Amino acid sequence: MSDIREAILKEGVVFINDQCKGCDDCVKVCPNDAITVAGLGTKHVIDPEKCLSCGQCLITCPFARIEEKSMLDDVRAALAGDKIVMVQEAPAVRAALGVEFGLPEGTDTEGKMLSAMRELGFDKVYDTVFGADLTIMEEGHELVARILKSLGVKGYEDAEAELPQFTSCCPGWVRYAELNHSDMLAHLSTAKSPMMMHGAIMKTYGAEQLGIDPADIYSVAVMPCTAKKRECSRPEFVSSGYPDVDAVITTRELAQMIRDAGIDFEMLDENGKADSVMGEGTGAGVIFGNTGGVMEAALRTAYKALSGKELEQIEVHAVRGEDSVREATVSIPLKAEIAEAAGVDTFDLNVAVVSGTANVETVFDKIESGSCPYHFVEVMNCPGGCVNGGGQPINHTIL
Amino acid sequence: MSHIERTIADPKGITRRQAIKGAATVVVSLVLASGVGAFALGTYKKAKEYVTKRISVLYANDSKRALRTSHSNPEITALYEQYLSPGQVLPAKTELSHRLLHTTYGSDAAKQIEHLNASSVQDAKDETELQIEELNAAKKEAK
Repeated sequence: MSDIREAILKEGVVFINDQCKGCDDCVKVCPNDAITVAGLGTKHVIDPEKCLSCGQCLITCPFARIEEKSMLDDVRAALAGDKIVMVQEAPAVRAALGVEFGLPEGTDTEGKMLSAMRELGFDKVYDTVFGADLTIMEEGHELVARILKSLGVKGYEDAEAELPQFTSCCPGWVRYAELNHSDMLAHLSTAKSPMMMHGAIMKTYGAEQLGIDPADIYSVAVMPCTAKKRECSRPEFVSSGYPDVDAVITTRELAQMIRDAGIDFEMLDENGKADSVMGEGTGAGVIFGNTGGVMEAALRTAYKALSGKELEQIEVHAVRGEDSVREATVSIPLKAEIAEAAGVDTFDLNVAVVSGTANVETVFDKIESGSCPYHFVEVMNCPGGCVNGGGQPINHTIL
Repeated sequence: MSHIERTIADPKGITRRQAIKGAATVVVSLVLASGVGAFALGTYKKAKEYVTKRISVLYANDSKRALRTSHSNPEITALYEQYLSPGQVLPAKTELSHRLLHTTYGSDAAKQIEHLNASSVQDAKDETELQIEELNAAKKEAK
């Protein structure tokens, strides 16, 4: 394991530098009380044992005194070396990359982002939206299995048992759950995040399709998230026989690479496309970057799996919005064979969406008191979702 | 003697310079106080605003796409049919799916690493083939 991965696992991704003014803004946004204060106005310190590596403090610090550990040198070395360097970019990256180049907030830079990856010399340019679609297939069907088990349908006795099922694609939330609710981990979907799935598929199926040795692949992920650096460093993510993802860089670090390479962002082709056979993505995968997006994408597929039909109204507005906890019920007419086995014609799927990890406590309270009505709960650590992740361009004037 | 004349002339009162300084301090403090408040509020408002704008980008991107459900992605279907569950689309069922796409949490991670190191991707492929054969046989029997 490279030194940087080990250091990240031990010390976390983000740290407060010596020029800290001691202003407390970071303390207020930390979702896990990981920032300790020795006294008013003194330098603050992040406790790596409690830190989720989410970077909310970093994008909030009014003096820009919080920094992140970087894998940029490893990525640059790989690009200069002999390996086949593959890259994937998370949905949220395209929603904010333009800000780094003077474009207004609200600009979709998907095409330019993909063109930039080619200009930077990545050999294969994929899109995490593909990984997100794959996640929905696995996580959605895992949910369906848990539901069918709860309905007593034959053949699902071995399915994971616990309801509600929680989403598991946000590494900040997963670490929060591991640190604070270790007795509840069976509720988490066993599905890996889109990034980790995509990485594992690149070095197995991808290697086969391209006729190359997985040992010759170096896999990079561009993420809106600092916690993804810690996630990719976790020692269990070696399912391909190699590290499934070799390095993660943030949206900000991608912008840095683009600037350092002297690429004129304005001149980049806005019709850039990802490579097949791991580059196609659907709208369901795209909205993963929004709070409520994973839920909506999962509902579109779970509805089809349980009813045999597509949702009439594909946009599930009930789970959209920015409130910290949102609830919805989707009534699903069960297809004949399930209805027969379950003895009911419809299933009312109760869901909740949590934006900002600490707000999940209201859901845990309900589980503990036995009054939890939900079957599926989405949790994203950063308020608003990955679009407001700790690796995104900073949108406030640094004092 | 008018009020202004008195303060300027009387050495025991405040000087004109002090008066200006005092007034200036009050004015600057007021401006700063309201400025900082406005700035803080402004930052907060802007924070909400930029997040909303970024969220709209992804919803708009979704609504523009021809394919809007994960199960309709042809590259995903191909991945299942050609690799994860040969010949069919069977999410979250085969050993290959399990090995490559699922994980464990907390203290279970150690077991997971042990499992991954004790077997190979090829092992998972072999087991997947057996699973598919069994499934196909069971289907035939049911018919």
